[in-house]
Amino acid sequence: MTLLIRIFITFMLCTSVFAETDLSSSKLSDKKHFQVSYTSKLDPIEINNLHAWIIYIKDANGKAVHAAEVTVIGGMPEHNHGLPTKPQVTKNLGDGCYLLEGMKFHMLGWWAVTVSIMNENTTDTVTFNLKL
Amino acid sequence: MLKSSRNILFAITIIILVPLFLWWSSQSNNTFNWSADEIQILESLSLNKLPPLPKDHSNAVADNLRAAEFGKHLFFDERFSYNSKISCATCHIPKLYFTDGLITAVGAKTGVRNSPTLVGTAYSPWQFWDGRSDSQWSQALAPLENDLEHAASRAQFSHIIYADKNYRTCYEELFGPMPDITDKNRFPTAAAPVDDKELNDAWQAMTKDDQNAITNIFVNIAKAIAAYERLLQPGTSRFDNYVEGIINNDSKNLKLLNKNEILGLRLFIGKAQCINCHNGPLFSNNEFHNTGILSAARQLPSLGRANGVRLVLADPFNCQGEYSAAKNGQCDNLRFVKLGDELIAAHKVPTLRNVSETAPYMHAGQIDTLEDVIAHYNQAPEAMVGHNEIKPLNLNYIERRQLVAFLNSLSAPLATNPQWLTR
Repeated sequence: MTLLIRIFITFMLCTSVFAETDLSSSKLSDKKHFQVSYTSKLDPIEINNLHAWIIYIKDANGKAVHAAEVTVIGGMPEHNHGLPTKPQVTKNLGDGCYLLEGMKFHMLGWWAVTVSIMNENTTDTVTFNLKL
Repeated sequence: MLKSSRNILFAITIIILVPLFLWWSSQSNNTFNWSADEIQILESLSLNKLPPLPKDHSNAVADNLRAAEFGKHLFFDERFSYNSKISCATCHIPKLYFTDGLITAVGAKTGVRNSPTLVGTAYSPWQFWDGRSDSQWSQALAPLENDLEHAASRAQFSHIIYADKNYRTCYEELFGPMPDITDKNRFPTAAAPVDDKELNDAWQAMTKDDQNAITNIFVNIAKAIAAYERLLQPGTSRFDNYVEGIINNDSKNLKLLNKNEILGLRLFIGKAQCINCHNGPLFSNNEFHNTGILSAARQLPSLGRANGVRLVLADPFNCQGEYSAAKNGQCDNLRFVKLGDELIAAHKVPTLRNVSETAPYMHAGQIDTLEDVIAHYNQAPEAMVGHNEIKPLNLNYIERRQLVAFLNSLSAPLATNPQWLTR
């Protein structure tokens, strides 16, 4: 019985970790309202280096979202702390592209960056995983 | 009788051989098979990976050698204090890697913070244990007027420069003509916007223009000191040469670390998780973490970065202030600075280069030895305030010793030309 419980827990942990380590840089948002992608202007991303990202947002029909409010937070789930900076979208670049400045990672490991989008009356979030 | 003698001989042999074996096994180099990932991490810590000095856009003379020479003189000059006995070098002693070996700094009075090294600080976007300054020059201003440190005033410094022919020549060459400050009614010999009533009253009696003239001189003094401090850089250690040995498969360099030091290095980048914060060629991410350090005796816990970030944003000498030479878009560290409760009791991660030469440790010198530092991290006690980010490491006694052994391999003479290290 104990063995079965252990196997079950191990399975759950493995599937959970597997799900968490989706490192895709283009994802459908949680409620499927937006397709969101990012590219980093610092490539490859290095720790301890302030840099910018470009966030690309399309709606469910594949059309560029031109006037969304975009906020970003992030952190290390395994260490229970956030980003060392407060990144901000500083410019709407047009065609669904937004300039995100102030990105910085200060430790190696697993980071989760959550992008929140509000467009007209629709809100949604998407979380990107990074392994540095 | 014979049997007894044999037993004694056997015992003596064991007594001699066992320590010899233990010594040999700890000293002999064990060729480790570092994985490709591990080698990449080791390389990231190597001094070879240290990037060029980041520009200090806020300081137009940051990379001016004449400014550095001037700054060096100022750094060692005790006249820049209330009693002409305290200089920057009082607490930042070159032969101690620009620390002072004391629990907390002693200037005009005993201070509340351990004197951090200045070596490599040009790479850090934040200065002080709580990061309340965002440049070396804005940092250098604070001790000069702090009543625990130099306890002097910007008016006094201005008069010293003005009256000293060599200093005045250097100053004017770098910053242009000094204003005429000979009228002591307009420019008192001691005045500053500080808590000291006498100094503050004298300051408040000055016109805004005259205050600004004096503050400009004060700022320029600090900018020259910063130009000097930028030259203080760490030298290549045994660790760096060992990493070079791994990359080039150079057997001579591979012998530079003994087995215990190598095992300590493996712990450093693995089980002990030191590399989480002590990363990069300076072994510091130059950020702020709460690691559950006890407050200093008879002191309330320091709020650390939570307070430091408030101070740096309000600092008239920050990168975005009127005394900064930075243009729009050149103060991104300040622009995107983080606030919030997560920073309560978080203090700056110190470099580990030369760490075994710079005891005691922590922001108030609370821990005397590296052994005790590692014991603290091994235990990971609850933080007095805020949240301790670290978790118990479960390192055994030997592993803790090996970590210390590795840390000892990070010492090296500075890369800075010795001419800069003496008065």
